[in-house]
Amino acid sequence: MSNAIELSNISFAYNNTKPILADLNLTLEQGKVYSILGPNGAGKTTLINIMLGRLRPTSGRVSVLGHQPESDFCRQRVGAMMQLGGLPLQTKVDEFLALFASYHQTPIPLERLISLCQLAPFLEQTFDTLSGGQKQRLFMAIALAGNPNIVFLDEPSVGMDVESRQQLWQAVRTLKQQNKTVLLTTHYLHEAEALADELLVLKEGKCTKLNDIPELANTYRRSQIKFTSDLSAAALVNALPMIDLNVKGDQFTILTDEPNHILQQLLEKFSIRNLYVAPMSLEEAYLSLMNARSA
Amino acid sequence: MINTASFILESKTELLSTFRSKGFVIPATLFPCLFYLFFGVVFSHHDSHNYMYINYLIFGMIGPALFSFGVNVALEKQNGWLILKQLSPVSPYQYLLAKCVSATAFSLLVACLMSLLALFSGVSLSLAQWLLVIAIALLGTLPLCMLGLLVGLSVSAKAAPAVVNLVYLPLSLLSGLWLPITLFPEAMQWFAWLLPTFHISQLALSTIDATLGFPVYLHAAVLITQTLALFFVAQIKFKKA
Repeated sequence: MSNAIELSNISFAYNNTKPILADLNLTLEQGKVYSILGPNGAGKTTLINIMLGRLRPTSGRVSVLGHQPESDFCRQRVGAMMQLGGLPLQTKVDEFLALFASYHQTPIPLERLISLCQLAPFLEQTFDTLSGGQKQRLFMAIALAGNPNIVFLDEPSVGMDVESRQQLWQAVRTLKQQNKTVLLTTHYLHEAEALADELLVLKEGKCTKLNDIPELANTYRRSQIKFTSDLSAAALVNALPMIDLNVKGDQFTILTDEPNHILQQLLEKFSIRNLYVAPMSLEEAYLSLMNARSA
Repeated sequence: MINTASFILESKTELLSTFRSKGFVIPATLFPCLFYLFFGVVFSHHDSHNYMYINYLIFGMIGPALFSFGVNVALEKQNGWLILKQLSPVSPYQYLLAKCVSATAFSLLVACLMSLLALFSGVSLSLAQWLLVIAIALLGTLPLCMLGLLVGLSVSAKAAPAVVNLVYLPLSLLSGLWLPITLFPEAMQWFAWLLPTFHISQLALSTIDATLGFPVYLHAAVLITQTLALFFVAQIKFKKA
């Protein structure tokens, strides 16, 4: 598989301040969906702006589809949905779409763009009458108008209701099926989890694949078993030594890598109620890791 | 490279968007007309109707150029519309040219309304003179587009309307668009040479032999130089934006 984006030894700082990105290396493959996680101010938007050619790194090399990011070649093949304040208020949705399609050599057919971004009900509306979620869908349509190979989605689901968000997810999956590279930033970890093939964590100026952070990836793969029972914690520890147990009154929580084994034992030996088993979500793993770090 | 079909679409979108903002178009059109009515018609002598009309016409027609660029560019720079254009393959000049088209249409609307008023206000120009005056004023909007662009790129969206007015009104007064420039002290008359609007006014007044008496080509040469200089500076600023 060829690489869509290659960043090598990228550093970036605004005018002699503390560097935001420091010697960052990152390779994005064609046809994969990536999500960048990181606290506010970690440099997610800066990183995207570098990949878009809007910011020049202080040092390092950027290659997008084998070209300079600010080249016309990339402008034709890279789409971006940025966090925008607004567009001309009195322009209609269909006028925006036609205009941006006219900028590109091989645009997506308009009907397909409209159905992909679910814009059909408000094509005739001017920008100032759109809701927050509808605006986001329009921004997404503008990003996709040129049928790009690479799509950046910066906080795409901000302001979207549940239904809009589901449509957004569907659209991202469609893009993946079309072998496009998608890079999204989001505050919603479950969104990143649901959509991305690969999760990237941006921290202290470096970008790491989640799977390369064992403490986070391992926690994340664990399962969580919850139940209520009248038995004593000591009895449980006796029967199942070496487990990660948390007890609050009659509430028991076990974190484990071997849910099958533990469950079998639990059900055979004890009487338990309200059993609940779930994989630990990335959100919980991430929060527990960040808490552990700051504690 | 500008693709013709795309450029026409861009101009159409820009025009529609401008003229749908009735809350902007109506006052912006009426303002110079009322100004003309009060100061150019009511307070004008019977022998100065043509002179007043020509100067107020220029005043009215440069307004849309300054505002369309100054105020809208500042806003579109701030809210991200300019960023979307930069991220797309479209040439930045298409955006600027489409704005010129829209400003020109707006200026012509003002010219029509003001000419209608002029018909009932004792203005006596031949059709050829009339068209020539409008053509000169229209060409004269070019340097003002550049000046507006410079303002729009330099200040925030919030400051832009005030700054544009701060350019528009003194520029008009000091170039003799409101009052005959001969009423000003001599030093101020010389200062007017720095202002493109002064030269536009003198060029337009040459159609009725009402200039200060300097050769026409001199005004044309200064105006062209000023336009090129403004274009040059605006271009540098635009590339950095």
